[in-house]
Amino acid sequence: MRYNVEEIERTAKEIRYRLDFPATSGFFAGHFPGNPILPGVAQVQICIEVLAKSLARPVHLRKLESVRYRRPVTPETVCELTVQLPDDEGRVVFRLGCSEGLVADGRMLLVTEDSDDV
Amino acid sequence: MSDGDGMRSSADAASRFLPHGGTARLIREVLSSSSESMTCIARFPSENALLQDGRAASHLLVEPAAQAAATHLAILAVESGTEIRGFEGFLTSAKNVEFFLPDFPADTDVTIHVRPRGTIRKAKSGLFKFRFEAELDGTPLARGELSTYVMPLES
Repeated sequence: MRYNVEEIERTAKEIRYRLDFPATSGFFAGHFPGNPILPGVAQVQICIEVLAKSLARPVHLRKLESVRYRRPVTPETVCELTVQLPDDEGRVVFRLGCSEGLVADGRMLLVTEDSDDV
Repeated sequence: MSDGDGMRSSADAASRFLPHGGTARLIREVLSSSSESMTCIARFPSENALLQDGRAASHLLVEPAAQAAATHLAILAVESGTEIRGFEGFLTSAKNVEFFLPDFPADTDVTIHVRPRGTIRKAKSGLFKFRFEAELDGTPLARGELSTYVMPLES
């Protein structure tokens, strides 16, 4: 289990998820020994994975327009992820936070495919 | 541009300074390095938890690019005679990073070029900005700008 995820709210514009990261998550393996923190790329990866599941279609990233990482995520941290649904250009805005505050936020351009194309 | 045994020794030393371990350590070999740029080989092991179905999504290339940037700083520190026992650091931002293919196979050699924004003559604590490009067999995979915060741990 890399992480646990639960969709907690969906509106016409965005989806909110609850995430937690077990100490045994493979994301922490080697990153870093004795001082485990969630890799920044894992946060983007999770955005894409949960959005693909919610949209029920494959999603991949075309461009990271801007992402800022503001605080580390350590094992057993509970986070809330808010992902705006893609606009007409595929642009998505996300925010990842925990009880201590904002973890990361950013804008990215996605390509979504019809499931029938895969 | 430095190369040959001297550069490889610096590269080997630098690789020891990355805090990453096991399948999270992605830099395999430094091909060339100067104060202006560094080129290296990175590889995602199939056991890395970021991969799915034996393939790496191209956006994951931000991670070896950040490791390449830290390696470059370590090489510059070693070559300047700075006594350090390691680096602490983390990715702080990514900007205008474009991806040209959805993914690529695990366990394949990807060439990473990093170029600091501004000349770095000696690694010091602080925020460093880099441009990077990644390619697989000459095919562009990604390019963009990263910033990392690093802090050398002096001996």
